[in-house]
Amino acid sequence: MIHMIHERFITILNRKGLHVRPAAAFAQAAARFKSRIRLLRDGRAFDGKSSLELLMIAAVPGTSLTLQAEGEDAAEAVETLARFAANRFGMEEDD
Amino acid sequence: MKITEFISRKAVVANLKSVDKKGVIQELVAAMKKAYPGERFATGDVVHAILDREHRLGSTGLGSGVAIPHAYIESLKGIVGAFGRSDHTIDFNAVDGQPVRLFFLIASPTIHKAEYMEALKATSTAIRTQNFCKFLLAAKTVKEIEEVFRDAEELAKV
Repeated sequence: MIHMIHERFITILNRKGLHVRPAAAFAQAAARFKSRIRLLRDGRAFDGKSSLELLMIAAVPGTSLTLQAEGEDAAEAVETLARFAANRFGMEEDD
Repeated sequence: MKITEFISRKAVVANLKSVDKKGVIQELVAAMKKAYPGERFATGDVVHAILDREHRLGSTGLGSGVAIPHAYIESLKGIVGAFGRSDHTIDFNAVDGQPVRLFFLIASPTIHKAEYMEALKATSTAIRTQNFCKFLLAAKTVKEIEEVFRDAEELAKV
């Protein structure tokens, strides 16, 4: 079965960027989906289910990334994870 | 940025003595204090800030036996850190539930956001490098740990 690739732009809103805890929170949220989750920056792809790969992006506040999911629950994954990013990965101001 | 730019050899603890989270953080902050005499901070304040964040905001144990505890300290001039390896298995409430044996502690002034992200990038890139953690666990001395850091930095250039 061929799965559609779903994509959406996300912007890092956390005032300290995509650092340790937001990365860990995103990886944990991504791991709940069966789809392959990736974040793309400048054509380079990073595994959305690995907090260490997410830290390798070094995304400062305001960075735009492409969120991509491929798999049976890709649409739901992109929807949920994009909302999670918009909500600063569930982090309070003091993140 | 390279790991050795914010973790100098004096800030490397090859064999952590402590067997719990608090003790490990205290050892690492004490090493950082010794290694960076030009930076002004109170050891106790930094230990408290890091432990408070670990409890309140969640563990920085990212899995696979590695943790990146950190704190933001206004009085710092630049990013400084410490590294420790342990022969004990430290319970750090890591995301995968596994104990932690490798610690990369980072302290950053709040304003240096981009540099902090670069320090995290250098650390995570090294951790993702094949065998980096395995070699660090096998290293018994500060000199051996430094060599593992330098090898990872060489690989990162390619």
